Amino acid sequence: MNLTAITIDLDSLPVAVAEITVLLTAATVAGWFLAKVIIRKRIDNLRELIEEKKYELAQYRTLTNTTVDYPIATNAHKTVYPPISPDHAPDDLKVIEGIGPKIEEILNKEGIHTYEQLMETSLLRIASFLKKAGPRYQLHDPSTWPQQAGLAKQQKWEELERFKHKLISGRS
Amino acid sequence: MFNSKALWWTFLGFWIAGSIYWHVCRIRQFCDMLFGSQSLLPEMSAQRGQLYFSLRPFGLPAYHIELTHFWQHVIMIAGTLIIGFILGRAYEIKKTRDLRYKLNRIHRELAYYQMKQ
Repeated sequence: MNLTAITIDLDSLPVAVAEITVLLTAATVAGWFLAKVIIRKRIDNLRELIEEKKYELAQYRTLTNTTVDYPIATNAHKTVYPPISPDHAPDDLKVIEGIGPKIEEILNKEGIHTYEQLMETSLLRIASFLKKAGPRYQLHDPSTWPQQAGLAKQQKWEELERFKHKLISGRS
Repeated sequence: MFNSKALWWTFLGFWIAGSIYWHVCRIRQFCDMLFGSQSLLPEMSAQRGQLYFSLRPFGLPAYHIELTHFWQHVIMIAGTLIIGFILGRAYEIKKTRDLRYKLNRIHRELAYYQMKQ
């Protein structure tokens, strides 16, 4: 069996194209990995910072004994709200249709950090928070928020998505 | 605009295509050899001189950089590296979003307690 020797002319067009393609691909991959390394370093720094701040926060919480400073029962006829105890990490309230970063901030200020808290908050109370926040927020309709929060709390994400879709399509 | 991945992918594609054209036709001068037309794809004459180094040790036997084309090679490769970096950053930055959100939340709560004190 004769084996024909395959010779490649190095000074040819396909070799030139292949070489530059390999070099440029390598440059792209190098750039990508550089970004990855930098971002990973940033993630590590953020994690460290979060741990530090968490520790600081825990100290503050033990010092202040997690009580709220707005009146709880100044008058007997006023509604008494239970104390806030964010004993677990706050939830992302933005998953609820109608709640954006600003409204989430308003709710957090009022002591609502979790789905459970939102679920248990009456509509009248939520409406009063929005009213207090200014005329911009009074247009929002919080009527479905507790129901959505209930679904989120039970981690029924698909059901929540369907519900949100229904709300959005009903609105348009 | 700078967050659009599709835009950057397109830009990378065009950059690589342009760089290949530049390398093959303008630096290595293969296009005129193929098409025999100086007006269609004009070449740049290379001056083989003082600086001439090959990338043979890196597995690219025919790739060599001459003094007259040095900056063109640098621009082609640096441009690709930068676009690769931007694309990588666009994909990886998502991972920091959640952490930054958590940190902001802790900062807010800390500010609240500090104000209270």
